[in-house]
Amino acid sequence: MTFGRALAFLLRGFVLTLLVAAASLLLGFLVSIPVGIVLNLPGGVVRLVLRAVVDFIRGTPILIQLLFVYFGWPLIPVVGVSLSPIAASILALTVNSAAYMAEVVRSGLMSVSPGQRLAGRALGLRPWQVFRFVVWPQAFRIAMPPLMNSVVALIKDTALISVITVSELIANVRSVVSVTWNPAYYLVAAVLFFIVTFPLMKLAGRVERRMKERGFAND
Amino acid sequence: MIEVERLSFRYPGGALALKEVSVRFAPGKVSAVLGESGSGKTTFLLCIGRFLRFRKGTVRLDGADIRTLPEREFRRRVGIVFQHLYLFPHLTVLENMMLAPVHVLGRPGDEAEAEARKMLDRLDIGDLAQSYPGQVSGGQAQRVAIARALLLRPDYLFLDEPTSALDAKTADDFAAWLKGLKDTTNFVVVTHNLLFAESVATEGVYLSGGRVLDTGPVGRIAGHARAGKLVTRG
Ligand SMILES: Nc1ncnc2c1ncn2[C@@H]1O[C@H](COP(=O)(O)OP(=O)(O)OP(=O)(O)O)[C@@H](O)[C@H]1O
Ligand SMILES: [Mg+2]
Repeated sequence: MTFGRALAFLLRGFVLTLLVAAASLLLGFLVSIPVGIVLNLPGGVVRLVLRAVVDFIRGTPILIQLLFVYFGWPLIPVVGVSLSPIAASILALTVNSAAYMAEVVRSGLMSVSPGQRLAGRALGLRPWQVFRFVVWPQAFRIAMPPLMNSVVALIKDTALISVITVSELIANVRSVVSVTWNPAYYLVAAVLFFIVTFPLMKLAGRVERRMKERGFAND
Repeated sequence: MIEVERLSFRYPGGALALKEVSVRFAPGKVSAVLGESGSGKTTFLLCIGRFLRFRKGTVRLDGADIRTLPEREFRRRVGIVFQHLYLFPHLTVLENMMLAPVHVLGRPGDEAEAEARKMLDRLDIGDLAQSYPGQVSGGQAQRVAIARALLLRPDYLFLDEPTSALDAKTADDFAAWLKGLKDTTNFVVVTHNLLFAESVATEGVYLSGGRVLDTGPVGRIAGHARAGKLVTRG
């Protein structure tokens, strides 16, 4: 196997890795916003249940969650059908990233001063407009660096979906190494990950610096 | 006309912060609310501004109980600038000012921008349009917050300690400017600054321990405050 062909094979796997990660992150982020809002509400059964679910997901290995969704799903009586490995991966990773991001969203929302909501209301904005134009943009900027950490963590965790037979980068690199006997391909795979995660890590730092320049902290 | 009748308010688990307060704010006048720290001035504004729900007493706006008015109508007619201003730190000064005109009044963006810029120029802070609130001085931020509230053209505007970050000269200019606007907006100013109160207002209310001790010409009211050893600030 030539290096070129091996690399192409790895890249094909990596594209799949990234697609699964991107889909999970997008869905997870959308889910995390309402969950983060509910986690901030006082009292309520819904909040307590979500709190418990979020804590449980954050406190258990993602590998177990993947295996459980893939093998456990067909056993749920009403559902009955099995999930494709990719669907199971996206489902498990979505739930997992939603749990982490909901926690970040929750603390971001909480760090916006209550006076900001008052001022929005005083100007006649409707409650959803106060959220949309006043609270959310501030919460998002505050949450951005830890959100980026979650994004990077999830991209790396996506490597685990090879255990439920998805032929993504890790699965492919293992077969390349088993044919070529050249472990340097592991390094190639690592570099591929790094090319994607590094700019994301830098982006978080840039957002943070820009917030400081604008005197964001003292409103 | 805003008529407050026997308004009482108690913070949950706290002491009675307002006791049977009765006051009226007539149109065409600038009024001052004076009183020592902790006398209930901010609480009074928050009740009139519908930010605190009071159980006893009534507040009428041109005859209508404010608790029955639709939220948006009420907000367009009664503005409030808080002691801590609460400018939106993620928006520029200009964007802070355009938010309500665009999203509450439904004004087109370019009109709202032109008007906001005109207002900033009048307040002598036109060059701050593109700055963020974290980048301007306390006095400038105060003017931005007031300008932001004025752009909704409220009938009444309540200002909580509007001179706390202004020097004496700026406070004088500010008083003159407010007086110039009194035909379109009725101002009610809560302040510790007796000189400012006397120069800007004609009427006054003196609060002490949550009660109204006197209402009347601002000179007399400021006299009570001086006798009450109120520290003159700003
Ligand atoms: N959120 C609150 N919870 C409980 N008690 C409060 C709360 N806010 C104010 N109080 C109490 O209500 C009383 C009136 O407070 P308020 O803030 O209205 O006074 P103020 O006249 O505005 O004072 P200052 O001049 O210092 O701004 C005070 O005794 C204060 O301790
Ligand atoms: Mg006060």
